[in-house]
Amino acid sequence: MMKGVWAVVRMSFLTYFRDRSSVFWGILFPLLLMGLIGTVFGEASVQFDVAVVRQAEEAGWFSDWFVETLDQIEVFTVWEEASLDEALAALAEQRASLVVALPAGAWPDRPGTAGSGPQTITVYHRPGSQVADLGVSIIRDVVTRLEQGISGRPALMTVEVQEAGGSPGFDMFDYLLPGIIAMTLMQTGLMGVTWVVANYREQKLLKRVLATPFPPGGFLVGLIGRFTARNLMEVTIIFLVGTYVFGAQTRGDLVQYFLICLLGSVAFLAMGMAISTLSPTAEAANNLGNVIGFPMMFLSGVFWPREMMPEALRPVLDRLPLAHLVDALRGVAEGTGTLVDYAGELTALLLWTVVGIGVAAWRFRWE
Amino acid sequence: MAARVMVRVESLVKRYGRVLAVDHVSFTVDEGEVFGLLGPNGAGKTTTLEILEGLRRPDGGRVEVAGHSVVDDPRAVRAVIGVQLQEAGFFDLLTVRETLETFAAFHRRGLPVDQVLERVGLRDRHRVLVRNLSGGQKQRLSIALALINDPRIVFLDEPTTGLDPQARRNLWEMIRQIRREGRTLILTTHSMEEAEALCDRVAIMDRGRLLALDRPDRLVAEHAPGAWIILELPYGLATPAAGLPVPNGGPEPGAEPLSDRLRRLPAVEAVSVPEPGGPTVLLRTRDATATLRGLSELQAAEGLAFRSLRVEQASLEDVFLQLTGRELRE
Repeated sequence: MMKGVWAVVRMSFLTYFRDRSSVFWGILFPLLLMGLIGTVFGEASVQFDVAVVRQAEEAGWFSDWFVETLDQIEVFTVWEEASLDEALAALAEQRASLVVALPAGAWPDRPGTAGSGPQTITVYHRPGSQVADLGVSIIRDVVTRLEQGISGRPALMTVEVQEAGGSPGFDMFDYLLPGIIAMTLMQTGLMGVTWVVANYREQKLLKRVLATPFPPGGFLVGLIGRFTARNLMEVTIIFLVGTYVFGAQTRGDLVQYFLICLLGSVAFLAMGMAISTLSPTAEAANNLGNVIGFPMMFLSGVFWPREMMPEALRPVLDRLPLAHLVDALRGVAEGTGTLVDYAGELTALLLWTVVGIGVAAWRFRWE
Repeated sequence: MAARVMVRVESLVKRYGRVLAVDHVSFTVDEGEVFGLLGPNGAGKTTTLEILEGLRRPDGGRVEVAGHSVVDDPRAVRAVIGVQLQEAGFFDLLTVRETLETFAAFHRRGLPVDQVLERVGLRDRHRVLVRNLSGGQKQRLSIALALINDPRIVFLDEPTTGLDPQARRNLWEMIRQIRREGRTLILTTHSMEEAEALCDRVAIMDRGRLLALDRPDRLVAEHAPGAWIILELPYGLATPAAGLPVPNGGPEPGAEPLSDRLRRLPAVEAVSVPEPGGPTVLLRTRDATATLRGLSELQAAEGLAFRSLRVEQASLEDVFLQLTGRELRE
């Protein structure tokens, strides 16, 4: 009996690795999706394109120093424009986000020597831009420090910044990783299992197995074992890449995280089995799996919060099995909850599992 | 010494809705025998076979395979039988060897994979993915799967359907080899030629009923005795309906048509022309020797020279026609 179950697991893994499309959908596709969405929507850091205009005739040492210092600031991309008009045109055309005009007047000669009164550095930005305020304050800070350097006056006060209390900022990838993992588990169940089982039936492969003394249930156990192993492998790879390549942080308990993955895997495998029994052909089973799976993927909060969906749909969307899985997994990943806090979601998943197994057992046909 | 009975079927009935797919069929198969179920598509052959294999439940009657009831003890039956299914697929992305290893694991006992590969001539293809095999090679793999558990009874469902003549001959040789090993073989076919070439006994089925069961030669002797004589008319004689020609001239006016003369030859039962207007004439005869004697007398008397003449034994084809009034081929 065990010999046969292992043979099924081995057979399906050989098939899985030789079928490039299943490796693509199971591992590469989720990673690509995560990279894409995370990069496009998750650009958390702000970038400023700063155009600098020197209005003094001769290039003074201070101007060089100032431009150099600005350029060292990570979020600034600095270049010089010949005239203020050209710089302002760049600002209007959105090629520049800030314009810094250095004064035309004389600069102090040396550090420590007094000049002829304060000089004005003018910063231009487009109206109504809140981000621009950030840029302006950075420039103001730079000026203050340079001035301290020049005047030799020691700073009387400094500000030290420390993180403390509350939950730390949640990065886009932190948010995406649990969603992508949940999506992968759903895909294996609704798109992988349905196709494989219905296809085996259509090809009379199940009948071939039935013609041997091997208990038919053992074959199904082997298939479920295979898909569970595949899920664990895919989840591990996606988790590792998400963590070490995309820098996603998982703050919660990994054991609980893993247990939720396991339950999600079982629930969607059961649903996949059920769907495969409801369709006359492999083609139809696959289509049905896609029809159910794809909308669910976009509506369950995998990529963006369900709060963005119409209010009227929320009661339905919140009860999708993928929504339960995503919520529980994300909650535990953020460290804002434990298994107990998500008992409702997990019970719902368990119910889906029971329903799936029930339908599959009731409707299952070998040919 | 009577051979051991390996398969006993008594009054087997199977219904699909209101259709009787198998209508009170009874037969036995002895150990070491090659037993053929012959009939057109839809005759009930595959259904009968799948009931023997324990894949379908009968609606009536008793079926014992190797002493086990297929209804009560299908697992025991499956342990001693090897099954080749019609049109069943494979795991396309496994190699030939992996396929055999996988199925070997589903059986408690088995032959070494290499030995089976050797037997079906797939040794040098053992690392090829199944999806890259030719049709004949897939069919041989299918037979290899039927042999992997060292079965006492091998079921082959239309083993040569869709194969080219060469692959078909190879498969026949393989089946004879399986028989020489003392295994019992039960196969279905809709090829009379195949049944005659391979089977010790043949059961002719049509519309769920078993019409006749015997050795192929006895079936022919009983239901369609005699032979076919196949003639090609002499040059200058377009049709047997025409009168015999006078030497160096056209048909003699008012002469008796050749077909009538042929029909009156000794032992002739029927004269037919397969291709209207063509030169070929078929004579169905009870006694080929007597008819040939009459034919040569006719040739001598009329100075005829048939372009060709050959004699063919009546075959199961004729038996089927005799039993059902229909040709086997649709």
